[in-house]
Amino acid sequence: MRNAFTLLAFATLAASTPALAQSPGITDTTIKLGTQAPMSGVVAMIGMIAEGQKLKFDAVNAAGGVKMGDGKTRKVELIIMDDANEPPRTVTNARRMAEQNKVFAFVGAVGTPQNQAIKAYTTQNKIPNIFIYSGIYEWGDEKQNPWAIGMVPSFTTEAAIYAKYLQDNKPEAKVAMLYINTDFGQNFLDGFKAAIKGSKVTLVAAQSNANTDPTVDTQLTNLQASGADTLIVATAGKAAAQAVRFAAESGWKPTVFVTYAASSVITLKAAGLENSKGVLTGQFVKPVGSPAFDNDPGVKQYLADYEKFKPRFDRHDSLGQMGYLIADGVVKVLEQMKAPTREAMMAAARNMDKVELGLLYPGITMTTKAGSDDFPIEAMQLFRFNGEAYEPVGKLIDYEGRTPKL
Amino acid sequence: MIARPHLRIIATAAIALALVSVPALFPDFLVYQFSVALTYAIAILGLNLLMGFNGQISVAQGVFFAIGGYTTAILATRYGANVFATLPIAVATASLLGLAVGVPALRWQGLPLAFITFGLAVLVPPLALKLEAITKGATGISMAKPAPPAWFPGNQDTMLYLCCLAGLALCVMIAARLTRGDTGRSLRAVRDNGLIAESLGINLAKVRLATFVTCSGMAGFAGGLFAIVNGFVSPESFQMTKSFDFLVGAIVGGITSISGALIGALFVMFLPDWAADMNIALSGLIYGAVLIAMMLLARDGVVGLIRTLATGLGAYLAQRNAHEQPEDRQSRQFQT
Amino acid sequence: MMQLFLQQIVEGLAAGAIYASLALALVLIYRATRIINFAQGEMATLCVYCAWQLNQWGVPFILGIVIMVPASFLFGALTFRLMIRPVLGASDHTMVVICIGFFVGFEAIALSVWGADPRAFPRLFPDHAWTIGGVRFTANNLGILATLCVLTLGLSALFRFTRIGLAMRAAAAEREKSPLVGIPVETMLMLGWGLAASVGFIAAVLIAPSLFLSPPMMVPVVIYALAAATLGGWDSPAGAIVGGLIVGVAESLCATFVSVIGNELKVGVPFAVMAVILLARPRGLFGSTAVIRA
Repeated sequence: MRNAFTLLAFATLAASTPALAQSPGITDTTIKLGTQAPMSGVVAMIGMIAEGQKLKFDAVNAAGGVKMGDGKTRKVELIIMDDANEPPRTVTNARRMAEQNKVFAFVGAVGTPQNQAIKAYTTQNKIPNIFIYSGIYEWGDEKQNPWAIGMVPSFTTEAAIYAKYLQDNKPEAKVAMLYINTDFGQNFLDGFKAAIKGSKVTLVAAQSNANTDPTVDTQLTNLQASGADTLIVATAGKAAAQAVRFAAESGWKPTVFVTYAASSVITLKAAGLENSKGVLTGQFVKPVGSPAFDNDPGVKQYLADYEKFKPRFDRHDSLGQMGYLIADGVVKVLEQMKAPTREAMMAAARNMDKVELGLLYPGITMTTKAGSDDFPIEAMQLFRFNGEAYEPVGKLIDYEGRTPKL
Repeated sequence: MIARPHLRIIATAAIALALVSVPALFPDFLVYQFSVALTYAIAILGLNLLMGFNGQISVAQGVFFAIGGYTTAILATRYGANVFATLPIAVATASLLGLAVGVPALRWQGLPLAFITFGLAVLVPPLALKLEAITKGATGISMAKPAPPAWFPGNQDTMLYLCCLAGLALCVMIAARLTRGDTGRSLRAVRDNGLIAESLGINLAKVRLATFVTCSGMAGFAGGLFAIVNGFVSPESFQMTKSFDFLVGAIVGGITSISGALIGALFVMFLPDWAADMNIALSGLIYGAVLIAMMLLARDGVVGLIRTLATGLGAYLAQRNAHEQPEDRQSRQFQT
Repeated sequence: MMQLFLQQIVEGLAAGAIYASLALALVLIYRATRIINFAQGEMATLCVYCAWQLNQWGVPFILGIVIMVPASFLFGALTFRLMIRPVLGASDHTMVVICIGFFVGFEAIALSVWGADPRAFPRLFPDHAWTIGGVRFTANNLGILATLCVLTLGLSALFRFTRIGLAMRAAAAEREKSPLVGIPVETMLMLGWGLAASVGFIAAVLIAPSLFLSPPMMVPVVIYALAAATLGGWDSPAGAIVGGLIVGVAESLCATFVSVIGNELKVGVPFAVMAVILLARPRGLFGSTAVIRA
């Protein structure tokens, strides 16, 4: 009688406790992830971020898969979709990946308006959208974006780092800025203005450009005419190369900073290696190709994977490397996930304790803490190009926990 | 369209039935994609009126589409208006700009108009960025999608789809009224020979302008619906590729046909996805190749191809039957 | 301020030379075939990539270009033969979609073979620069302008003074009637496409150093080139050059001195230029016949 009673009690309890919903896209042997980037069109360069992620996941799968936090080893199936930089297409792709392909989560999705377009959908359907490739401040706002988290430093952080370098090394600098007329450039400009407040560094001219501009000579002529002695280039690949070349060939020769997204050796090669001597950039990725890092295990791993799988980008392509880095971060999150659920993924992503990645510059780690710090990477190292490779300049500049808010 | 009224009614009813059953037959994300395709169909329909009956090529349909979209988004978020109530205003603002462009466009025909409208289309994202105060610039405007009312048996995707379908039906009825009867004859006269049309007493300028304004008004309506269905607008949502998509959709569907607009919309919506599915690196090449192949095989668009096939079939059947029943040959007169 | 004004004029002329180059190719194809293939730039980009690849494989730079001139001619002629000739009688609309197909397809080929990264392309002219009165001129820009002038003179002479030029113009203007006087229309049109492809290639070689070689290299230039050709007159090669220069200078001056336009809206300058010229003088500055019919 008592046993039956206990059995009945157990049965009732089991029936009334809601069973933990099994998240889609995950089995005992595989986990499905989805990513989007512009793979065609005017900004197809940026699509290499998706290819970089594929490279890392291919390598991980070839080595047997990821040993996840719940003890099971799973292979990663990455679905890449092209949104041609159009937010409406990002939405249709996201819905398709979630509802038809049943992905577990979105990773490394590219673009600010693109991710904002799918924000309502991912929040409503509780789908993780981790390590977004966009540096606007709001991805660090947990209340606004409970199911999203960024990865790359906020655009304001990079601007502040350049401001700090100038304050320490060229305190009376007169700065001219070329910025791209998107959320990135505008955030960067505003962040820089805020960071130099109260110092003797002044912003004497700022000119915007768009992807529809064939050349940026008009803007650079104006910037040169302002009498500035420092040029900050906060724009995308081709225009950045044009700017670097102009700065040298026109005879102006200011101190030149180039944003990390546009400062790969490939861009500098296009601008002319001689013209690019002395270019400064802030980076959080190890300089692949720099002799000082030839024996670095992370770099060697990347190059070995590159040789084995031969992705569609040049080994020095910084966007491909970025994708590789993002995927590495995803792997670390998978390793930390305590349960095979979407909630567990977000919890793991929001509680990373000084996680090191193969290509992350020594001293820079991913750190987040739910409730207080939602920016994984908040530090950068400044580098100077010596005509062949990048050399580090000065010490790591760390904004851990202090990402500047606009 | 086939001249025989019975066949036309049957065909229309069949298409309508197929469209209404979409939410029941397809998964939610496809219903959503179909909704967006329907908004494109409305914009393309307007363009068909302009190109098929006015004989003008416009690459600016995306501009009016963007105006409609932003009008709806701004009114809904800044002034808290009900999203559907904003649609007439979206039509009005787009039509006003259509008037402003249509007046000088009277003097420009053929390719010069195409280039000027191309120049306008390129201006949309920078303008949207510049007018940051009302458009919120690069950040874009997010709006809540309307929830279905309590009495509605389906979900949000289904409701929005049916709203777009209703919008398309409305525009189809307007287009049908314009292209049949007296106005239709005026339009065709203006298209085929402007001088003779004028000598018949048709006010060329008035007819052309009215068509241009209708075309842009429809695009504005489509843009407003697009904003509602997407819940988000930004400068990147309205790049010049949109205008090219509408142009391609109109021509591939068949510019003198109302049903062509729907075919063209489905084409530009789904072909890029299929091309990317086949090979993401070569998707552009596949898309371009398909476009060229379509024009080589069906230079008047899909509807044109269907008509040609139907004429051919009809003539073949007529010939066959002529051998069997010569006296009935008179009663079989197939027309396109 | 004066110095900046003058320098911006020089920059505008340099940019204008870029627009004029593509405009010349567009005007050429219009004059020779009455079809405006706005994908001319994309075809030229593919040919420049081939020249670049030859250089990568060790072929001397100039030799590579010399090889590619007839190769682009063949490319243009083949494109015509395979994909335009079958639809010659079709409406403008069909042609527009085919050109859009070219636009997307050729760029996709370049993207898949060579990738999206911008690359340096060597300049044809030495890296000299002179500064007069604080204003800087480069040998490269002057070289581009000079080459364009030579090309224009050559093309104008071809069309005006040679029998084959006359035949090409006749074939383009009167497709149905020209065979009656013994002109092989389709051959002439094919020649026209080949010639336009070669000129387009040369123009692209001139401007690739400034634009950096990448698959969408010519995409931002198209709207400016269309405005330049419209301004100059669609049947005037000289008009294309002058139109391009005017558009370039207008753009840089408006971007710098008209704050309402600034950098953000300077892509509206082509639109404004076209609107003005089509209202004031639809045939363009140097155009002879009325291209637009009521």
